[in-house]
Amino acid sequence: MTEHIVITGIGLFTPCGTQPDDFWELLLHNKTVLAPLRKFSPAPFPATSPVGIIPFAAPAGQDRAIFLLQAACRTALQHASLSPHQSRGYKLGLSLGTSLGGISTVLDYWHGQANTPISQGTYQGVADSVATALGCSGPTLTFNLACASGGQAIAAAQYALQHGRADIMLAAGVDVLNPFVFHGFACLHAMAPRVVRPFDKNREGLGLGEGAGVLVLETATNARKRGASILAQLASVALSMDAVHISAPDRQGRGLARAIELCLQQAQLATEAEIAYINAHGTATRYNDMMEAKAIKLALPQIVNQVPVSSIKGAIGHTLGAAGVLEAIVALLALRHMQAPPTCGLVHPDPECRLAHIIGTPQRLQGQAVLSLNAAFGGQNVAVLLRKPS
Amino acid sequence: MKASVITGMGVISPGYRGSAKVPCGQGNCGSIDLDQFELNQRRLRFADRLTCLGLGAALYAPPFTDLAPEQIGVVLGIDYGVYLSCYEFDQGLSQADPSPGIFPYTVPNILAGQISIHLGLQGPGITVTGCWTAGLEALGCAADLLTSGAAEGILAGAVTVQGTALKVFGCTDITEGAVLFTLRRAEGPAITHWNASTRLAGENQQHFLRRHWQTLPWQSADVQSLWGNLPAEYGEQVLGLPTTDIRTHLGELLATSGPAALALALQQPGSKLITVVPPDYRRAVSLVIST
Repeated sequence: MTEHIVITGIGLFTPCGTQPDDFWELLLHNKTVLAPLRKFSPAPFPATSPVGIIPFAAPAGQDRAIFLLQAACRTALQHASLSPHQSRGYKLGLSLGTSLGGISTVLDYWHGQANTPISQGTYQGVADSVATALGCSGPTLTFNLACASGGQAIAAAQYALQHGRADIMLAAGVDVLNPFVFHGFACLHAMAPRVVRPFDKNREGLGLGEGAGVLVLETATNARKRGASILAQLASVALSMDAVHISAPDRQGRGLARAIELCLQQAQLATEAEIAYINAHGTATRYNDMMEAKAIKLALPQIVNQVPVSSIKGAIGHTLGAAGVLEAIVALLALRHMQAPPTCGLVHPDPECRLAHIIGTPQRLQGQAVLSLNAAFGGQNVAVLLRKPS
Repeated sequence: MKASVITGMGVISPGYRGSAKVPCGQGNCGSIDLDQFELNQRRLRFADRLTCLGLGAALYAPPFTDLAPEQIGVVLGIDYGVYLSCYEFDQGLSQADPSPGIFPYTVPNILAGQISIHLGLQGPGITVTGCWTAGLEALGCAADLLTSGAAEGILAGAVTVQGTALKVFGCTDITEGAVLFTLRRAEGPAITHWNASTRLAGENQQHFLRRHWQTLPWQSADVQSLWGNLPAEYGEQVLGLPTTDIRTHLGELLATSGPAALALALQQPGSKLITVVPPDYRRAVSLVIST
């Protein structure tokens, strides 16, 4: 029988800082950190587009993605009661999901303004730098599934533990905001000109954010042996592809529905009713939110009208490769507190996105498991299911 | 136990393109003409060289005719190739004309998306990035998906392209190529183990490789040869195995080093160990192939 994989620590770096409590309070109080862009000129796009920027600069000579990820990893290890000395005693690995990695450093080289080593700018360079700093001796892997990267990072960490390639894995996601990313989404007309309103009938697009999220994963046996407190069980991760379009979702939601169905099947849930909460991808773009509502309805017809759903993208923005892990952390906190945050920005639910939305105030939960969903450019989808520890 | 059996491959290399032989030649692959495949050209309007090479190799690979689309996945290893579109998008941006057609190609997993669209594959789609090791990591991840039952068939491998925008990474003399294998969840000789390790600060290269190889659950009698992108004496001194450094045959293939080494190794009898390392030996990735 396959060994259970459990979560024993969380770490994050968002515009609220590195403390999970501050992050959770922001979400529960239906507040947002998104504000009009000031960091760089958004021309030719509207300066009013809300973004979520972390108000700390990376040290000179260090890529910003590395700075955010390293801080989040250290917080996560501390949260898992692993001192730097203790963690070196284990075969520690890092599985990273990122959409654009150290692109800021690469752009600096192309613009002749380099002040960090180019090795930090590659996709793998971000994970390599952090893994070396943490003294990792196990696998260091980097995945790029755009907005679904975090979910795959979790899946790969799970496999590494199940096959004995590592004793402890950090499943992480990171992405930073810069003009390249901002203008990329702006030229696709995906950005909200004012407020980010996931699932709202007046939604106008997404707001970009930046951040890092980390889960500490290990086998239940390893966690018990070292006396770690178990926050949740990683029940299952499943992936699928739409095979429809490279930058737009399958409007019928069939791809994401397949990921959800496979995820539940792999987790061997007795009934859909065990699901207490769904943390949705909820980007606030017209087609994503409609697709996601259809996918949930297709995959979970028995509970679609009851299971509480919310998105955090109106609160901290779309953090791209970090989103999958940060949102898994939200799902985990919801399971721990049996309470889920509302969707910030959602006032008038779109009838075409009919779900049991959490609006305005947090909602008490009932059930044993929580689901976190992401969908990405390239038509990749991922579903992550967490369960209360047994 | 059902394992990850290699059933075929699709190759585009400087000296060969097709599904019957192994990659050969060094340098540039030349023009990539996908017209013979009757593709939806509208969907490829902004496709970059990475996409053309990768999609071409995917189309040369034998199809999974007996599996449902949702049972078939794509797992790719990518090195620097995606930066060609990043550079092009950035050039447009500097002239206040960012292209919405190019922007999606700045994300590495668009190639997996294009392959899924053109071949109708709806299983897991994964893209691994890691300049030298990504190809073997992709094959390892594919093996994990197959052995866990998350997919029944997977198209897995790596793609490497050249471009002047990549000079910032120090890649001036590389070989282009795309090597994608069709892997099945079936009984038979296959990828039996894989592992990845990170070198500790200050650790000697040979000591690191020794530690890395010790993490693989195989006996030296189980493996007859070592293939990869490391000096032959390393494998011979540490493992006592005849070692082939594929760079002497194919040049510097970056992420495609691992899949190309595997393609060459499969031509020889006996079980093999495939190992790939980046030039700084910061990581090492190995596959064990039984025959």
